[in-house]
Amino acid sequence: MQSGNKCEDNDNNEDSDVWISEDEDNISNRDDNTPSIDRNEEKDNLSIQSLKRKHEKQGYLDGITKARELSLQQGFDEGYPIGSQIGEIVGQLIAKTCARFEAKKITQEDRKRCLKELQIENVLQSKYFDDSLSISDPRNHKVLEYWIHELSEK
Amino acid sequence: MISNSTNDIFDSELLLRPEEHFYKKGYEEGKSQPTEDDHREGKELGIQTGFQRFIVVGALREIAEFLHEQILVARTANPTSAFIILNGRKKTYVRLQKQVSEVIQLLNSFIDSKSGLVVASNSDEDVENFKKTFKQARAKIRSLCSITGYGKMYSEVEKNCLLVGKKIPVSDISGTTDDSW
Repeated sequence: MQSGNKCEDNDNNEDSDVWISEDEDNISNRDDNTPSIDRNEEKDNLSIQSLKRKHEKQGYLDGITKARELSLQQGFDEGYPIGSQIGEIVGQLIAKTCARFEAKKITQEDRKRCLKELQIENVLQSKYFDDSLSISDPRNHKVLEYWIHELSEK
Repeated sequence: MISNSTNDIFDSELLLRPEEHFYKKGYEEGKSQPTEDDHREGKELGIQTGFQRFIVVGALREIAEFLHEQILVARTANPTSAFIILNGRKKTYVRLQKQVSEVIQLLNSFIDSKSGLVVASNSDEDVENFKKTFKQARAKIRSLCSITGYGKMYSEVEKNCLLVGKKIPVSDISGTTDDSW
């Protein structure tokens, strides 16, 4: 409540006029004779409510943004080593395919098929991972396992 | 002056800095919201980035092993000579063998000796170390392939890595002369 507001001494003023009763919570329901101290207190309450709403909302938005950032980063950090292991094996298989083809140990057809099946969008399909996008051993990845075996035989 | 009893009743932060108080309250509530979808999205992106970044590492390791084998095969053809013939090119056996061994060792710094799998993390230090090691290894392998007559094969491998991974990882990295022998 603002300290500058004073209620004039008036014979007609009673306690019930000065203090807001419990069921009086709407300014528009009051007549214009409501003492100024009531109206100012109402204004204060409204401005605090407005302040509360505004800053809580901003805080909430910043908080949820931060939570999302942290969650994204945490997920990225978990996924990165998994992808690294898979990618490294795929790289080995690509080089093996080229070397085997150069040595005429595999056909052009096999080489093309291998490179097609090893494409990122084929290897990183969710069906090759568990529900949390993890894989116990990338060498057991169905596509990689097949080509590891296929190229080691040649 | 506010008495102790008043301190107990009222939150001084709420009284003195209401904006900060309400902001903090909202912030904590927002921060505690579940974000499983974001975690999954981040993990997908992490897997993809790791894949794209390490595809060439695997290729370089395989090329290094391939060169090592070719040197040994050439050596068995003439075990007593100081020289070997690779793709019609005469090379000093000991020097070439040393260079290939060095690059294999360099690339093996990414590998866990027990599991034989890559050990990688996304920490700033590890990413910086990756860039540095990758840059050196790539320049050395490229140079080795060139002098042993496998330059065409190297280009083919790198082209296929680009094809499979959709981009050459760490595209800002290219070997400098300092990284070559």
